[in-house]
Amino acid sequence: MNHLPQGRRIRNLTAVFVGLVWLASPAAGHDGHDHGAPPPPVSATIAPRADASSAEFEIVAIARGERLTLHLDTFRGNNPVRGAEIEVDTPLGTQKAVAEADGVYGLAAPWLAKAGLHDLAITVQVDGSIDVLTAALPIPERPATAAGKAAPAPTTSRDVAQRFADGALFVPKATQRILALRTEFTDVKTYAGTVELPGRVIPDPNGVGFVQASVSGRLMPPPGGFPRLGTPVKAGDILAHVHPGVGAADVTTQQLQARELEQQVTLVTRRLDRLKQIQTAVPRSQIEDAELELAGLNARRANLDRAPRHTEDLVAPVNGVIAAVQATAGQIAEPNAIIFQIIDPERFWVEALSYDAQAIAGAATARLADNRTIALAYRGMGLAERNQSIPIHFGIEGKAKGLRAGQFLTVLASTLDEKSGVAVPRSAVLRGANGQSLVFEHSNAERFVPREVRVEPLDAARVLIVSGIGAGARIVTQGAELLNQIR
Amino acid sequence: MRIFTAAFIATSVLATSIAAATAHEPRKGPNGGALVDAGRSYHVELITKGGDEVVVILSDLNDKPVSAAGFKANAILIVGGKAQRFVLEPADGSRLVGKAPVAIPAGTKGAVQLTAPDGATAQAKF
Repeated sequence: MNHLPQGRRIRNLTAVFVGLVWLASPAAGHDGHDHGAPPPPVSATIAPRADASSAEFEIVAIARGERLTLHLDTFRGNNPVRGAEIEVDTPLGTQKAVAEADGVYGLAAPWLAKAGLHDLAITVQVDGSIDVLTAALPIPERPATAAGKAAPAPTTSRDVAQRFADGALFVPKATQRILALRTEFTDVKTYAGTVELPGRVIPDPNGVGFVQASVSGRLMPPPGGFPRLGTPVKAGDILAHVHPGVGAADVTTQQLQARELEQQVTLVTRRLDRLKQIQTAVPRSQIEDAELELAGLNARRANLDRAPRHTEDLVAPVNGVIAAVQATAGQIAEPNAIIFQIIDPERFWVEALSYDAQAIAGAATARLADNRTIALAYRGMGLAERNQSIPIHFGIEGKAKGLRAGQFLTVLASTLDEKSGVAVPRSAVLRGANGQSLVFEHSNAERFVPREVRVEPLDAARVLIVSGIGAGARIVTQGAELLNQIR
Repeated sequence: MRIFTAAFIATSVLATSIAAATAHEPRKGPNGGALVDAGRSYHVELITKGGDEVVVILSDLNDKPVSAAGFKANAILIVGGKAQRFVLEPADGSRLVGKAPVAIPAGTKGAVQLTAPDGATAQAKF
């Protein structure tokens, strides 16, 4: 009864209900990708069901009492298909299914009351594509009740996901929707080799500025107060004033100079007065010299009074935001002390340290601790070693939010060598209980099989599976972690 | 050939044995059509030659002809983005013949539902 010609590609859909079961199922291929098509699980709790798939769609038909529920998804991505027109050729003729929820359709099916194998041809039409899928829905005999009449059709409302001894999972479509499971169709491609480097966010050398006092003095706020952390500033903005302080020795020297100057002023004033009284007897030039000398002495005296009170304005050297503040009103600022640090938040670089002489090809990505990724562009590589490593600088492409100078990240830079394999998102690869890396393959509509894989770094968002899975498999890329929790 | 059979025997008298085979990737049939498996008992070859006549040839698992007498069949074929449904009637030998409302090009995708004289059903997907 089970027919399996050698070398023929047969996909077997086996659905089973309540208890006692005989199952026979061949492994099979389909359109060049191996479904494996193992038997769906045996459970007393699941409703009778059948599934079918084409290159485009995957559909699961579930009998609940006298209603047929259809879950329609895309074959490759496992995305629910909305707005499809579904016609089912049932034993009672052609019936239209109505949408019940996203990607869920239903139709009244009184013929489900009859036990046996019901052949369904399901015509799916959505967005201009149309497909006919065939499924055979088995309805089991219902056990007779004590009165000798057949028990009413079971209306199992909920199917439960479960894990089998071989690690494979049965996950009903309804659960797949809740877990938002999405898959990707694998493809073997050649990628540039990748090297992982430890990196750190640094400010763009042209987008960072320090504000320092050039003289020692008392720090005073500008009108409106000192700028706070995070305040945007423009080049030329006054951030603080420094009132130069005068030491005790300086004060003595100044007082000495002042007295000397005052003495000279008195002397020159007297001389000028005398010369003016005998104007006719002295040359005019002598009087003018004395006048000039007096004016000079007065200016020097006035300067001496003003000099200590002259304040220095501290101005922002670049545009940016205040990244560090060391300012307190009245504090004595030493020359060379950094009072403000200004960083342009739009202009960050990444400095990675390479311990090998890598031939970096140019494109690179960086992964932050929170798994965000940013695109990088190669800027340059240092030739001088620093702590046995070579610094490599990358610019950040586009705008990256939430970065700060000094933040650590992992840089994945492409090298000039090549590797081939299947690229999958990082979220697809899980750590098994034994420590091995594994991915979940969506082998049947409601069946997921764990596959051991060997991965190598590819970029910040993806890893490269170099062994364990080939082209043409459906790999769970979203929700794999949730899938792994099913017991 | 790989078969793995799992047998579970329980105490209940109820036993259900269901396995539906759906064939993908039609093979080239002996009469120039597309040959697929239908259910567990038949091979079905669909011959469309561009006209509105559609011929289905039944054979058993060993590709021996099966008489089409007493069979009922429906075809659902996709032509120009629309599903065309029509009935196939038994003709001579193992042939079922139907007239489609539109011309059916060769290599058309779709499905054929069969009902055997004993009431058993089978489907073939092309």
